Amino acid sequence: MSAFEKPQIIAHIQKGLNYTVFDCKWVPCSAKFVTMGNFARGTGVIQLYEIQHGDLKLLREIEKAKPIKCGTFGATSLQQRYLATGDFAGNLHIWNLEAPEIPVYSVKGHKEIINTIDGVGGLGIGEGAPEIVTGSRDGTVKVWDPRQKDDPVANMEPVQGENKRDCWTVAFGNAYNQEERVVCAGYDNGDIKLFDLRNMSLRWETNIKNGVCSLEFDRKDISMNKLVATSLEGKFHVFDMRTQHPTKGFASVSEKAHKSTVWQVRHLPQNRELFLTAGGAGSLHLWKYEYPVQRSKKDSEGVEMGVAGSVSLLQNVTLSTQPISSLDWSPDKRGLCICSSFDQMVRVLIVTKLHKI
Amino acid sequence: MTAKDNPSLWGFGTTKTFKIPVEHLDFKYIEKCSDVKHLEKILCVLRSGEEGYYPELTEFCEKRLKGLAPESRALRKDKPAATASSFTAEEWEKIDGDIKSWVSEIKKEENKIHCHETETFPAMDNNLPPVRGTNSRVHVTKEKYSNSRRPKKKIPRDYAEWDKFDVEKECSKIDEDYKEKAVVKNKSHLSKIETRIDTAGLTEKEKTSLATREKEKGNEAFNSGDYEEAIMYYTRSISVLPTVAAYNNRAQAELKLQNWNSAFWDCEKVLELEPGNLKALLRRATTYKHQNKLQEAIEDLNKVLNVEPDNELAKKTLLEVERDLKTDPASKTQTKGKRMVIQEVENSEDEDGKDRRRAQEDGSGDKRLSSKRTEKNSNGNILGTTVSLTREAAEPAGAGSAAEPRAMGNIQKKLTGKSEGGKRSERGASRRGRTPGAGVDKRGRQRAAAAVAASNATRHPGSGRGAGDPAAAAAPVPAATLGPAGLKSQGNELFKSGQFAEAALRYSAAIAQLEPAGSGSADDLSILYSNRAACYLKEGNCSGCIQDCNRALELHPFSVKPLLRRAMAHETLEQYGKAYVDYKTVLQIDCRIQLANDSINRITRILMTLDGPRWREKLSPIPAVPTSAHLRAWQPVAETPPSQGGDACGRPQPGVPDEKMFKTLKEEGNQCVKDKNYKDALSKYSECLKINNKECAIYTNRALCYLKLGQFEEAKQDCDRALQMDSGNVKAHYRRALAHKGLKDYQKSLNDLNKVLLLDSSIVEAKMELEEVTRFLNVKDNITSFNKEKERRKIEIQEVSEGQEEEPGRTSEELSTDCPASGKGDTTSGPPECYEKLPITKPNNAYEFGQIINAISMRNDQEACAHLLAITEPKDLPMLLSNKLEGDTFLLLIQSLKNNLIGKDPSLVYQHLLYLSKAERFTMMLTLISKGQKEQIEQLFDDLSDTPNKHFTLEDVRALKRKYEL
Repeated sequence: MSAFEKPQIIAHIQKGLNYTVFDCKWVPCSAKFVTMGNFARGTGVIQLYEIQHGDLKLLREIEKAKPIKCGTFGATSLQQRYLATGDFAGNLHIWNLEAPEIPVYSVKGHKEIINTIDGVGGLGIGEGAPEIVTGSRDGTVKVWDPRQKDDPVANMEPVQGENKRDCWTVAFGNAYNQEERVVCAGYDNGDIKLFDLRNMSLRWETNIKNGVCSLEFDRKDISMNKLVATSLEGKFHVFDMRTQHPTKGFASVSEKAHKSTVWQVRHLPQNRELFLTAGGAGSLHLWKYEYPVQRSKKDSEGVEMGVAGSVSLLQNVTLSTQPISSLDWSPDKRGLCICSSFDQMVRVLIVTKLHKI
Repeated sequence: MTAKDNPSLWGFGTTKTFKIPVEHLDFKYIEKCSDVKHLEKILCVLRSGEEGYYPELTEFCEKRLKGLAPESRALRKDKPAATASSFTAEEWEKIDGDIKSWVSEIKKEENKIHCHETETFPAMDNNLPPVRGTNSRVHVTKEKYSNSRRPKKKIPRDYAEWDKFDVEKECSKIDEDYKEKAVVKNKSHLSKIETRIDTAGLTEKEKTSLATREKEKGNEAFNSGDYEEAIMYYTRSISVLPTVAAYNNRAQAELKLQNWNSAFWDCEKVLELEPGNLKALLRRATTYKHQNKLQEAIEDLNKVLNVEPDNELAKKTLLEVERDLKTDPASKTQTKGKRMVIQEVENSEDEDGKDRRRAQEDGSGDKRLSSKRTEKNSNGNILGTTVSLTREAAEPAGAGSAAEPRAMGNIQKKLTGKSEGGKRSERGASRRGRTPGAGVDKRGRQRAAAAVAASNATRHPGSGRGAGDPAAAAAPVPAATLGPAGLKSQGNELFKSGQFAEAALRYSAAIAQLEPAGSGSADDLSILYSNRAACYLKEGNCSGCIQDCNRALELHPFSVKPLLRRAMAHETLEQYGKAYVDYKTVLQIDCRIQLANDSINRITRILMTLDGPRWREKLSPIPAVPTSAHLRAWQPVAETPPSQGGDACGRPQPGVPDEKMFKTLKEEGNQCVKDKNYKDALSKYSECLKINNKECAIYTNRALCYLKLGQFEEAKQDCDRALQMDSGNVKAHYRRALAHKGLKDYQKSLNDLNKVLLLDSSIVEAKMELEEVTRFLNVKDNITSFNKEKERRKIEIQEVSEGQEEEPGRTSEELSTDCPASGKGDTTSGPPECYEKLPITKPNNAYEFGQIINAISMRNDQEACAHLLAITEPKDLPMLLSNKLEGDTFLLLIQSLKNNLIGKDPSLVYQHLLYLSKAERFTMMLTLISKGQKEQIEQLFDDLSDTPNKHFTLEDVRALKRKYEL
């Protein structure tokens, strides 16, 4: 691939903010996105921006009592587009951005900060009920159904007396029909646990030695195919989730990507083999996963085991000196992307030539 | 600076970080160095500047590294993000314009959705699945331990457990586990993907995005090689919104899977929606090519080339098709999908109006062509005999493109007409001058057939009159003047030169001459049939080939060639199951036949995709091959004594018709048994006995049929008769034992089995049966179910010693599995059956219970489960289930209560339900079960309330029902 054929990452629009931004998300089916964060005075903030004439226009600013750590549109319908957020006090809220005064749904889900949130079953992504999963510093991972008040529909927690690990990231996957669904959770000690929501059991677990910063399935709504886990020490792992070996689990390939923590990984919604990682030193890496010739083989005992493929770097850029805290691809426009970084900036990026890969 | 100040100038220092000799930081060294790792280190040192700052050297090192390993991590550099200035004005215009137009477009879309918001919202909500069960907890660490504990449990902890420990059982259990897991992993999700998407209450925009998304999922699956999955997603996409791209892509995926027919229909669909779509035309050409409609393929390819004269793929395919057409116009669909290359999966449609117009012009040209062809063909006589597969595909084409399908039909008729040429010698004669050796397949397509041709050539060295002189063979000789042997050798010559139709004609004539001669010429006849089968196979007349192979095999069971040919014909007809059986049989005779080995591998894969993991169960049994057949395989000479045929036909043989009749009937009977058609087999054997009632084997064979049909009394009588003739007949004893067992006369059964073992102690089935029968006699037995699984595998080795007797298609595998089944068909359901299938003892602890339940649920054996429930105290149930109550277990319990126990003992059912509700994971279970399962439970309760009983009242039932949240 010549230099000109390579995808280019363009910093299209940049905007400085007057608060610490933790998360940003595209509003589905629009040219708008929300940013969530923390005012210096200790309150939470949600801002709604729209791209207009090559610039960002602030449409709405909502201030809330507690700093907001994370948000998702994953469990809402395209018509409603409610934003689900988790805040520093452990509250899960669902907001109607048109009328944000009172949350549509509110629950004190966790005792401590909700670090991470993910949704499935909305936006036409994932069969089955709309559900939200939250992971918290209190060590629990809870699954919520917006139709059920107060109580989670599933709760994954350590037994009494066990050490509580800080859950840093959660991701839904395997939602290819009404019954199947898994939640994958990553913890500060490097544990990755895969919970099967259909059987209510722990399906698989592993440890990648360093804290798991971000997890994502390449697709939520297909039979588990790949899982990318990024770690505190600059590595990321790609697991082939199609073939589970009874003892060895899933095959994986790892790659040292950044010089410091890989904060986020996000797969391109239009092509599951491409993903972007966001590094601690303000860098972005665009990767492509290539499958091996045979995705599974028989081990010496004739048991099937997966074979990991390889990853290749397509492009990398450095945007800032500060960590990039969040990243989101536009579900509607291939190659359009937003990211927020700890230098209080939000950027709209364009990645070119993605359709040629 | 002196050398002292800077140690690296001394020339023997090393760098600080990697301890690289300082000399290595040198142009010459770097130029020569090819160790990527080392270069990376050098680069790192150079960049760090700790040994000094050498920009040129650093750059040089980078270049060198780039040349060696362009992907090297050391070459990754921090780059700033691109900006407008990184592009040419034109490029930037494009990128910027693209985003701007998208922004304005999406805003319009958004407004549209906004309008819809209120109307469509409720419909969405109704479609949603119910809320997951309340607050189900998964304890992370607990689960972890229970997971790791499971394998540990297999090791017994005290002596008592050692006694119970059954190594084989555990082994087989591990096998089962693996099997199951492997299955779950690979394709199981495919069947669970809904092929339709409910689009009720969705806006157009939502539908479009949904369809696009599904299509993209399909593309991704396609790109990673999961073609079945890709087809699923394309189908889903089409179910939401039929688009040209989705159809086109599905066609491509189907081509990959070699589903020519479905691919064809998808291409048709595309062309209907968008006439002249190049990709669809190309793909349709490929399907034509593989369905051997070469003319149509050429037409499609020409259409493509008209629009895009430089289309490499079309050119290449066209060349291939033309070559096919030249070399072998009548050859059929031996697939060779590897060559296909229409790879790219498109994302959007890019056809423009111009293309479309041109394509339409082509279409009209095509019509002219086809009408010409129709005229040309109208005077050719059409034989209504063979309807080939491809013809079927061509016939039911849509009315919209009526002209084309008609043309196809004609072409097809023409082709089949040609291949039928064997029946019309004058037509065949006109083609006689064709290239000799065309039939020896250069393309390696029908390798086997080619090999056959070659071996035929070697096997008849100068046998017939015409053999020495190919010209003589080719000359039209009146068939009647030649003897069968001469005809055969002529046929062989013709076959060698690729004139299959004529060859078939010769063989037919030879057969016609030999047929009345009776059984004496069975060998020759068999070969003739087999050879004619080869001709038919070459011509693509698969059904004819199969028929001939059948005949050949009747005359000469277990000869390799007809079996191989039949297998190939079956494979061509996509009757993979039968093909598999035939290949397997061949391998039993001679395991070195590479073709069979390859084909088995291929077919296994196909069958697995077709029938899922349980494909083996759908196969008909693979016949056991008698050892004599093995011997014969090594003596190919014996198979063809060419001169013998002529003598045989003249020899008068007294009593031959009867004997022959007897033999054919018997073989037919055997064939029927092979095909599991026991009724017909029965009548055949009975006919046999009318002719000759002195043959012991017929009685035993008929007994087998009776056994299969569950007529144990008759079976017993036949065995008795057989034993009168031959008191030492093992089979008769064995079958009588089975009959006795079926009649529940276990004592006699036991006696017979003992006799069997006395006669031949190595018969494992007998041992097994003995074990089983003893178990019936003595119910208290501790052996669990997995034995059977294990033993079944063992039996296969047994076959050879078993197969000595001339007994058709009866593998010992069948013996072990079918007999209990036949017993079941005859007797009423009751506890004994449960024993028969699965020995169940009262479980004492949760572990034992779990084992039994696992075994039962593996077979989904409700009767056994019912029995288990019958012998289990209801109040023990929560204890036995412990925390292992799972969805399928629960369902199994409910089903067996509902189907098997409710009629017998409603109070027991009530008790069980009551205690089941007290089991540990019960409430969670309830939240997890699906609607259909809930209905089953509801039915059970309805049944329960319908059968009032003194042990419980309606009120009780209602209370319990509430517990079940109904």
